[in-house]
Amino acid sequence: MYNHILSIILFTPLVGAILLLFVPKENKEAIRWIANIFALAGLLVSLPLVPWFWAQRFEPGFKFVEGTANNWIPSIGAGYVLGIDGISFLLIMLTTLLGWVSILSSWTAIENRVKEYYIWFLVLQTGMLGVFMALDFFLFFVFWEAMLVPMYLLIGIWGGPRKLYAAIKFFLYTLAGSVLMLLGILFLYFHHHSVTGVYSFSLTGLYDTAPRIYSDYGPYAATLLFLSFFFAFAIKVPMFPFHTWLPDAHVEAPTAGSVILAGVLLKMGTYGFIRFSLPFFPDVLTHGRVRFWVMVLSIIAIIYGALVSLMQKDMKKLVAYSSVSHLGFCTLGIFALSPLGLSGSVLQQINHGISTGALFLIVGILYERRHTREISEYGGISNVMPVYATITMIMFLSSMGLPLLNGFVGEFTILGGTFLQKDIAGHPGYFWTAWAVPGVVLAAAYLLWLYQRVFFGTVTNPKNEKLHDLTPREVATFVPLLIMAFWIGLYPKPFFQILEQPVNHLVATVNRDASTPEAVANAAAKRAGPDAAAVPASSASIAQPEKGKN
Amino acid sequence: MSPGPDPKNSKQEKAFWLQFARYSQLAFVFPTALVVGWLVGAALDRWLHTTWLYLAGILLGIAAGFIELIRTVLRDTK
Amino acid sequence: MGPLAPFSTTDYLLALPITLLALFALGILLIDLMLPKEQKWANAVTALIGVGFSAAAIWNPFRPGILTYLTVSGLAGHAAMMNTMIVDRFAIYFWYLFLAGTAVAILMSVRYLEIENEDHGEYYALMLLSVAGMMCMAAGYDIVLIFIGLELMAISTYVLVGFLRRDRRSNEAALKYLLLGAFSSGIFAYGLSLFYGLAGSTNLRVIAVQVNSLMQKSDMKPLLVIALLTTITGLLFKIAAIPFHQWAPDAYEGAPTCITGFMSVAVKAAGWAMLMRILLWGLYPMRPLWLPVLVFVSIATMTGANFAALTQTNTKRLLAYSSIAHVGYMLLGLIAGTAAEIHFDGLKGILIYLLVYTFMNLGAFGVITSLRHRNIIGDELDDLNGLYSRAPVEAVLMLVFMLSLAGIPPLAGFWGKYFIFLSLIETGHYALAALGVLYSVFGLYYYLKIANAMFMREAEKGEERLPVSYAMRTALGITGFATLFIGIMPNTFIEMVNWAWGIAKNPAVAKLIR
Repeated sequence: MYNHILSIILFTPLVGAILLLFVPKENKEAIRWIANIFALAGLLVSLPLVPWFWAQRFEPGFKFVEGTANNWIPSIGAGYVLGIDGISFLLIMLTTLLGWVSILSSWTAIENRVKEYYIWFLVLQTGMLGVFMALDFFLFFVFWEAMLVPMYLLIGIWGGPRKLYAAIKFFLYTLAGSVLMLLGILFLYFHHHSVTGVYSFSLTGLYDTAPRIYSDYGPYAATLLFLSFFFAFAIKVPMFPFHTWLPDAHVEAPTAGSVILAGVLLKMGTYGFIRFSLPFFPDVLTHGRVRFWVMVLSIIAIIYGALVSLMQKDMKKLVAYSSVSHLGFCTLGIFALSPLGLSGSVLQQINHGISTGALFLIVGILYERRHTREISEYGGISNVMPVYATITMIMFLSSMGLPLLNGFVGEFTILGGTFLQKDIAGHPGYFWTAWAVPGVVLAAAYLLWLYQRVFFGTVTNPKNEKLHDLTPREVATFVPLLIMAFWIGLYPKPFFQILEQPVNHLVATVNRDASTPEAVANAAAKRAGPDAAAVPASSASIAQPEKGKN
Repeated sequence: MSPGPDPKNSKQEKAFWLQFARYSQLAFVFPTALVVGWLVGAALDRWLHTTWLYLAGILLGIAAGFIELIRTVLRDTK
Repeated sequence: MGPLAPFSTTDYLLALPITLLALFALGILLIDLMLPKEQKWANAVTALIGVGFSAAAIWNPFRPGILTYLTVSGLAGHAAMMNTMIVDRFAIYFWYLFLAGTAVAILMSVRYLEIENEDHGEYYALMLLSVAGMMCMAAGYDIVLIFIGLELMAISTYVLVGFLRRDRRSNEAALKYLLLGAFSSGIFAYGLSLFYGLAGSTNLRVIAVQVNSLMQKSDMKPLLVIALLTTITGLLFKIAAIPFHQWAPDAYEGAPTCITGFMSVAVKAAGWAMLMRILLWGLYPMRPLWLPVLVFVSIATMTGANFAALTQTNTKRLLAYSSIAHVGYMLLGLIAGTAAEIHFDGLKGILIYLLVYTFMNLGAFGVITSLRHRNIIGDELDDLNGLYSRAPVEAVLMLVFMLSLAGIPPLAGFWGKYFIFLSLIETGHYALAALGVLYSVFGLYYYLKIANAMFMREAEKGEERLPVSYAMRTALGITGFATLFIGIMPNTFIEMVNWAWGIAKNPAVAKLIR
């Protein structure tokens, strides 16, 4: 079990989905039970990972590696290789937890076509876990794309009134980004071949060769490649100009779909930045203007997302736009390129999964009772649903970053990490921090204002007088999220310890390559040399690695 | 990329490309005539609510393209 | 190729798969006369047996000489019939591909013909004859044989398109197809005749040598350009590349749905085999000339077809435009490489593409065919509405086929695109690669339109379940399984294509498909 723990975690939901195929679709209760059991099983089998991972948290490299390169499609050099480090470990735990929570929350929300719903949901779960586990770039890409299909169906079949539009928009947007990434992957693949003579998609191999692109092909080519990845991830995150699919998808998706979308899917974008963009293209980030514009986009996302949230009349749309703002903090922390900022960013991703996941559940519960999400329809809800109002208050506070709750730790670490950086793309760290801080204030504004309009005062709408409070099942969905929120808020040290090794390693990788400008200059001189034009690029760079390494 | 420059070869190659450029216009005569015929036919189809005029247009276009092609060649080979 | 040898047993053995198909076609015509009306399905069985025999004849254990020839000498094949035919790995690969596509198409036809009340033996006979023609096209080493094969295939297909005699749409489609097909064959023959005049031979190898020496002369003969242009126009007509595509949507829409499926895979694959045979074996020295033409045509094809497909409301027409768009992607595989040399990954990509396309497109047409029952024709997009509630298995399979056509991993269709774009990136055609992938996103939109109709719209015509014959179930099972299996475990198939191009590394796989 120890050696195959990742495969077991990965395929438990899929086994559930296949099992569900054989249950007659009229038998809704059985389907619900089986789906919930397998979702819980997915969480339970991931729990042994916690002590096992904890024991080796400071050791370098990927842990629990399974499979060898080339074992899947030897003729092109793709393999079924899984492995995790601290960053993916936290995201995997978040995924299994939220997967269970959201499947549990769908018990009464989904009434028609129950069987397909749970099948697609469990398939989606496997797809997302695969993205975080894959150590082979090709495998990663397959999971990355395949996961779009169940999400598309979840939005399109069980969504709101504009579900067709939202589903297609979601699919097309994310696909448009990822096909360009495919071209980028293929380029890295050939470059890896020309350097080492081996065709391979193995991530560890690409970590060695990809940073060379800057010196082998020049800054322009490297920047274009960086952008081909950047678009894929930025659309997924979503960063500011690419975010337009998000409100549509969130508003139309069923509640559980929104939870997973916000909680896990968006993290795939930031995970992509951390796992691929930073270690592959360190020189693009440390030289040139790319980093400056990424930072600017992050700031715009923070402010713009918060401002648009303020204006919303629909609760779900408000939460959706708040995601844009929160994810802006995450990208800010990533591209600050300091250990503190990066670990804060990962932690904030977990926090956002917990808080925003909970916020979508909160909106979903009201929607299930009243079938409207208009803020003006509500008022004084705390009088009728006190437990609900309390949980909501805690989650709102966590989302806006109040001390003692998880959001504070994440945001504070990001801002601190950014602040302490002396130079980020030509500007001191405090310059960027100053722009980001209003986002925190605005978050408090839109969330508290929302709370005041919905929960405080007297019940103005007679339809709200008879609403019943949370059922035990609904409380159960919130309990793990509340525990996590308090745990991270009060004692985040274990999380930082888990993140310490991978984050330090990452920052060291990025800065090591930047610190040797003479290597870049040498390579540039070699490129311009007399024999450079006559010899094909491939054979020129085959000779390079030996010189470079020794 | 293209094979290494060889002085004798490159002169030949240049003449070749020059000629190629002259004849490359021929490459477009044929499809263009066809497409024009097709578009005219399709427009007529839409206007007259028929379904076969585009076909006549294409055939006419092909014939016209052919005639033009042969005429050009005959003129050049004289 | 050596001196002309008189016909020997080897010649006939090499041509056996073709001969067998023709014999079975004639046999079906005879047996059909004796069958009572309610047992016409036996014709389909005979046709399947014929396909099986032909496939077995390709894998012929009594040809040890050829076996060593093929395994030892890479791309080279065995010439037969006085050098008019060449049985090499390329030809064998395509032969199997045609037979696989035909077998599935036969399975799809049985019930459809019963419903249409057109269950005649000629249908299957014509199908087999057209496959015999395709085999000649793939194995032709002489432009005369290639042209005869082409005409045998084309004429059989004209009749098959118009096979629903009482249906006006079918007749009209056949007539249009015939007119344009005949014209394009004429242009093609014109070009071939010029090459004969220039080279003094109809043999592709002699033509290649002669063209090569003609290309070296500084006064390049305009005739050479004209010959190339007309030949290539004819070829592009046959694979329906824009701007030579006009026959395709009409013919696809009007033909019996199972024949549409057959045309979109087997006939198209044959067109590709012929195109590659002529451009790579015969006119390869002229690559600098045909390369720009292909670039232009490929961009035009991807653009035109993808835009035209967006507005279609008829599923068959939509798939017709989608199949034109796929031609555009495949053409990119021939473009990959430099002006002087073609890149092998692109060629691999085309073969893989044709393989996966055979299964996924036939599957899609299979689902549409299964919708035809009683008074519902079932080829409008709206007929698919709520298909999931009526026929869940078919709907899910159709979703798989659509996503595969759109190129979403891990489905088979992804691998075709993968190798095409791989070759483009490898040879530095970044702009074309970017254009190609963006158009494939574009393509996803109209495939999703079908998925939307099936899963997310309500059925208008009741919740009645569709009766599906066992033959159709088998056909859908095969295509669905192949689409998934090739997608998830592509290694064997990649090795297979490597073998076809003579670059196999794994002898076990090569032996398997030999």
